[in-house]
Amino acid sequence: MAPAETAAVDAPWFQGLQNPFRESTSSGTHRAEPCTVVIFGASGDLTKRKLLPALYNLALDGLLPNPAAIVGVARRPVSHDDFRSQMREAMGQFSRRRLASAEVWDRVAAGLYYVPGEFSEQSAFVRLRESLEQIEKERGLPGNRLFYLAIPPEQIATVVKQLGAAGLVSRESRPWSRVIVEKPFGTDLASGQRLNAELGSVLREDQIYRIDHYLGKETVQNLLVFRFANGIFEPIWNQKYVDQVQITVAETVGVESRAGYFDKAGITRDIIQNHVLQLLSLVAMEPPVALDADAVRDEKVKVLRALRPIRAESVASETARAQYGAGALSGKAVPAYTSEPGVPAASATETYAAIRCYVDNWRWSGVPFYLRAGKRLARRATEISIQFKSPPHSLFRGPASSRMEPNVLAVRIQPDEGISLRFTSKVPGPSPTLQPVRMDFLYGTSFGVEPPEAYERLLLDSMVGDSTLFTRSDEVEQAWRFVTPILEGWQQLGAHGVDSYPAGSWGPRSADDLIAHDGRSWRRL
Amino acid sequence: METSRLGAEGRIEVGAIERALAQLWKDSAEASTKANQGPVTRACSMTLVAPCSNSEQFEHVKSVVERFGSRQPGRAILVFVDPAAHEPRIDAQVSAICSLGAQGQSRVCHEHIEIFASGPSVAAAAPAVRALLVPDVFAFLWVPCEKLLSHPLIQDLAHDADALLLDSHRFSDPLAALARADAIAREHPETRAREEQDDLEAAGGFGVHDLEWVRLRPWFEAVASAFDAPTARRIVSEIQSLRVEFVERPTQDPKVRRGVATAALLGGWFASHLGWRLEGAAKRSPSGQRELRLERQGARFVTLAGRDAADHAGAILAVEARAASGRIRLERAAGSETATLRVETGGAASERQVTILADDDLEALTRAIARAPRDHGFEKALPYALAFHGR
Repeated sequence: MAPAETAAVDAPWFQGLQNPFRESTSSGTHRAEPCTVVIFGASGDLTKRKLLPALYNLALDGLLPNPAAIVGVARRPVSHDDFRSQMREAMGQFSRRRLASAEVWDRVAAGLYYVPGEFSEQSAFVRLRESLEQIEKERGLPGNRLFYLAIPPEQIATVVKQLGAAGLVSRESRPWSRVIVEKPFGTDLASGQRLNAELGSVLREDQIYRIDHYLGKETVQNLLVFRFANGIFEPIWNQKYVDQVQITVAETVGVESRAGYFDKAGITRDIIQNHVLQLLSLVAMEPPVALDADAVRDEKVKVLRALRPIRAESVASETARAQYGAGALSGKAVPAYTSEPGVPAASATETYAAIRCYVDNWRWSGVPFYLRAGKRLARRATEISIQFKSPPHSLFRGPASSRMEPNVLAVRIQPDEGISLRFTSKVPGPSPTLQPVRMDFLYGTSFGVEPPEAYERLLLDSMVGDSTLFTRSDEVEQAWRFVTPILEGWQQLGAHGVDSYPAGSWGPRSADDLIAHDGRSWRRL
Repeated sequence: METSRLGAEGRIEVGAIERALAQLWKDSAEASTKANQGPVTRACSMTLVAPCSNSEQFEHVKSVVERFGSRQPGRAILVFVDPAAHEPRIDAQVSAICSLGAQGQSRVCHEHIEIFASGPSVAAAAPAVRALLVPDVFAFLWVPCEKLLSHPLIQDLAHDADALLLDSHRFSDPLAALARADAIAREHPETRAREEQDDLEAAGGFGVHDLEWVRLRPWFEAVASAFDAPTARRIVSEIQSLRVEFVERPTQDPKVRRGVATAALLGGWFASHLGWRLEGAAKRSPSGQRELRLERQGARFVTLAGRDAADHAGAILAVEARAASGRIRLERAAGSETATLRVETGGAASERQVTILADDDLEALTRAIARAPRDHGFEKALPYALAFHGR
């Protein structure tokens, strides 16, 4: 072999030290470096139902970094082996592919550890640091750490400060340290700003991953593709053609085991401030200059800034709130909210909220956005519907025209993720009878692969360092800036303003009135 | 599976096929409703056309396509041709193949059309297929039978397709087959249109996919993983040579040895990712190794070292990349699904086991189609692989 010159290291494609061979592998360059994932709240439901199954499914797809370690942290003392066997059992129950490969599970389990500790004690964090250093040494890990805080919201700031004080996280970019924070990000604007400041005193903003699992769903991600990769929708995606937008998050479940949290929060803090406003910002945003984290989030936050404020004195006319009474779901009687275990009998917490709002910018001027979220509704459905204006002049009169319905583009987020378009068609026959019909695209049947769980995508992104699908501090604050005056207005109105609806219905009369006032109605889901 | 046979004397009516399919959908929906299996969902994401002239291979392709349909619903058109027959005959049958979704989900059905053509009637097969392609979705032309690759029927069908698929490993001369597929792609109007615009990298266009390339994916992943660590990435720009060791087997044609194509594709993948400039064809050394000299800021080499064996022809045994300050070596025993990856950089060495599990035909077909219509990685690697043609 001829002697080769040593090539200069200044070849441009190596300057960023990207791995050039990753371009054509299945994960492409979206690949995480070896790291340790530390889960605070490891004994909780989220860990066994979502987080560990997500990490295991990433491993099944070859996307979990190799090597990696997963360290569970919680109060109760559990041995490594017991934790492994608990998690193995959870995989059989909650993993979307169950325990598809015992070999892959064995590999994951070999890097699975448990460290007990009280989150309020500094010594626990010192012990954790020592354990992590030992694990990282044993497994040849470079010290990259991802902390997932699956803990009650009031503990978040304390734990992050302790992480900083114990040297478990640093502002250095190598090795990296990142923290995933679960909602709620505060309870109002002031507490949201305070939490951001507390997190910011320990971490850079790009180290904080505020997770909203809705953003990890395929259909939500597809919103950007749908809007910006198809030429036909964007020209009509504005006030000239759109009559109204409805965003619905309907749940059939009640408060389950979360009564303590939910009764303090209510549906507006629990669902609307985060999930619903995130969906609204994705629907209404302008095209970003690039598909990177800050470009996308810059555009989303502009939408939130453009939301017309609902002042406290207007909440009675612009919103509706209600609490479910006794009713029936799936043929089974369910109790009223105030009869649920853990809920105070005199609670006035809203389990349903509807809001009419406007995005005051060039594109959306005058288009109402109707938002609604509720518990114990008739069926579980999360949907964004864009209803278009009717044709300016109808050629079809008499009985034929009475069946003309406006075009609706519906983006279903759960269940049955997909997109449908309603349009009017002629019924075959000599008379000009019209009928609305629906074209359906279903993720489940159109692609050969099962879509990954939202947590898989979001955990991978956070390991890779891509925060596009996570909420930035200014988004959180803008969302609170919109929601807080509504909450304050409701507080001024007191319990008298809380309507009721039977469990198993589609919500209260006051919500129907809110939209009927504009000559419109809620979409039947 | 519900089937309608469309017997016809020397001709097939596309309209009759369409009507038969519509009737099958209707029957499936009615049967499903009666059986309380929920509504039938019709989804169509592609047309897959598979012409074949060998009955054994036709049956194999048929079984793969039937299973593929439940993964990715669409229309499959299997064409069995017998050009050598004297009697002109053309016939078709259609089926709707339905699979039950998960509990509470719709039944998913796909359309399956089989066309049989012999003698002079083979010429009528392409127009029939053309009329049956589903508009607005990708059309794939899978050529499982080697003999047909040079038949005018393929050129004709490729004209209306978005991509050509082949499984080079199943062909007696894989590199010749890849060269032929490449030529078909170059002659395709979509490719010519991009050449006119001087933009071959533009979206869309006609692509070639080799299932053997897809099966190399675990090797790509394993080699790439060797460079995930920043310390290993530092040697990337200094790599001087790649050596691929593989199992080869002589064929009846003294110029053709089985297994070289797979190794050449792996070498092409590696060289193309480093941007090593292709200067000419490979040479055969006296020891039998094939060596391709490439240049980019100094000479670089891709060497294919074959080891004769009766079994596992084409199996990759080892990949070794060498730089002045380190090397990576991925090695396994023939037939083993576990390989050892050794990384030596800056005086330190690490070793770990990696799984090398090749896809079966169904998995490879699914993955190939997922990259449609063009796989830019394959397109970049192919010229390097073809430099070993005939060596």
